[in-house]
Amino acid sequence: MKAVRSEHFPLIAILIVLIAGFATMTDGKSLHTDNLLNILLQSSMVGVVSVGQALVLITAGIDLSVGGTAVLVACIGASLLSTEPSFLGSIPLAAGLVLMLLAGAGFGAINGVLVSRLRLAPLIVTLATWQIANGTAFVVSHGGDTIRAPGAVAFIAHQSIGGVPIPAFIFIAFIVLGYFILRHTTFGHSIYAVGGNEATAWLSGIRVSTVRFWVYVISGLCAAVAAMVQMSRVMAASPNVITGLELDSIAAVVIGGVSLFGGKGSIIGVLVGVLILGVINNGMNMARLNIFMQYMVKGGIILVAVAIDAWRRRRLS
Amino acid sequence: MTFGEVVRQYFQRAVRNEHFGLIFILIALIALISVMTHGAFLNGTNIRSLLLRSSITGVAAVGQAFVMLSAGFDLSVGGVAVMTTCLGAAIMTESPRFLAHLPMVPGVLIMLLVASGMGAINGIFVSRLAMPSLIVTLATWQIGKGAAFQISKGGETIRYLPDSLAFFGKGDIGGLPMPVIIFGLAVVLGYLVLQHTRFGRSIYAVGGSEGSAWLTGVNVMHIRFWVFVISGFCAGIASIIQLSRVMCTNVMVLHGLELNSIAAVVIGGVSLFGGKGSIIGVLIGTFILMVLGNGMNLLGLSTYTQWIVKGVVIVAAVSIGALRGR
Repeated sequence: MKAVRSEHFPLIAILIVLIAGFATMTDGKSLHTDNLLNILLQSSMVGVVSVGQALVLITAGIDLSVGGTAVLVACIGASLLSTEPSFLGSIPLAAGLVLMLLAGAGFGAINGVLVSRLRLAPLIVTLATWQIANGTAFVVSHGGDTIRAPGAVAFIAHQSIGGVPIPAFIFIAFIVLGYFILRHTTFGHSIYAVGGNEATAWLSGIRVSTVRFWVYVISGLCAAVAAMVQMSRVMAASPNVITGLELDSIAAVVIGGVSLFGGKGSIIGVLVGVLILGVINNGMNMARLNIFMQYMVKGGIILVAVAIDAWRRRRLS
Repeated sequence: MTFGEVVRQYFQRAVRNEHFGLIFILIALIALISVMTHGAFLNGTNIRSLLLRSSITGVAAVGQAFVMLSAGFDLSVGGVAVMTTCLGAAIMTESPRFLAHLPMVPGVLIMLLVASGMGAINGIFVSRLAMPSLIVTLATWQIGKGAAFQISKGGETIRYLPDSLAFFGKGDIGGLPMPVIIFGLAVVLGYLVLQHTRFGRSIYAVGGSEGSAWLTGVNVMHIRFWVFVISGFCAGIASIIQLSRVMCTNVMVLHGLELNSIAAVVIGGVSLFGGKGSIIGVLIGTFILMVLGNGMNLLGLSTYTQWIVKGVVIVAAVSIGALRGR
């Protein structure tokens, strides 16, 4: 009874039904350990970004720039680490990774300043910085060249511990971190307060613009981590990669029950949302749907998820 | 009153005009680009191609302005427009790979119906289900792109369209190219509807304050629904101009129309929070955006650099709007 009444019950039920459905359709092939690990690996990039996106959405903001930021950071990282003579290159691995994190956080900070200090609409700000990031990625990669990353980068995505790939651990670490921040820190509670009612948050002494600023920095940082995983998976970076991270992360977060109007949602929901999206993506790949059909299906899923959110809100009010 | 006083008064009134800043920026931009390109910008052919290109973005921007004045967003215009061009091409083409072979008039009418229908779907979700327009139109953008791919049989370029279709893109009346006439009509109609009809005033009311609009008897849901239908219709017109200019299409055309139309509207001074702005501003905003793009092309800047510049311009435009609003 307690399980059924849990707020995440419908989501988990949907996840189980999806897994069972795809398993029947593929004669159990989708349940092979290889495939399950693959889902986890593929979900980890979207998952890490979704944790940052969730923090932003809970403050009633939105970060459309994550895909652009990730592409830019991957190009910067690869060109810094690259051993090819045409790029800056050949800096030590650790320094390169730290610089990637800094670049991601820095780009997030630009969003943060524009949204929190200048009070611009996050949608437009991040749409514009998404464009800026994509353009800069082309400049960094000398107009769209594929930049090959050195072998040392492989450890991120091509190694596993006990059979589980490292990106999955990174994803879990971010989920735990996100859960801890939102549940057990003052900063986390302020995020809910700002998203729930900005005026009340301000009156109760919360520095609204500081909270706003930092969620975008965190989101940029998460995008940078996703960029590392992506770079390591394909051992290269290119601005021509369309990651779709912004749409996927928003979809995952919204499916996971975070309200687009802020103030509501949990990281556990986000985790389930990411897995639901991952299972659907994987199923569509196994069913050999082409990318545009996948677009349509995902678009439909987002609509349904948001409709459910809207319906729930109305029932509550 | 002496002549000098008349001139001064006229000048003062011009400076105080709400669009003065925008017009000033446009003129400065044109002057700057003309100088930098040694006059190549002012070449007749270039001005003509600039106007033709502006009409597609401009028509979409007029529809976008209706939505944004009601405090919504329509991110789906690019997806709807590409889907409409593919659908129109598929039903009108004489190629044996497609079956319909419809004549031009019903073909164009179906394009307008389908585009308006996609707008109506956005409208129903946003107005009846009270869903955020951003997410709804993001999803329908994806659906439009996917449908375009399906209709064009997996991304084929569809050719062999009836010659009569070329009228909307290549034809002219009294020396004025058709796309420019259509754009002009859209601006005049948009202006009349927004300034001089009850429906238009209600859009401002809904965007300004939904609660007050409702209390004064405005049918908020009705307004919310119809602005999206108008935006879809405008996307349909833009896709007809596009199809008719190029006489073939594929899934890549009109990519980025949503961003360009939003940029034009925002540069034109329409508030992102609704309720403020005018079609004249949108007209000037469209020209600023297109002149900027054209100038960067003439100067040989790469597409990527152009993305960066456009992104910066949008942020600057929104910042100015926000600072003015304070």
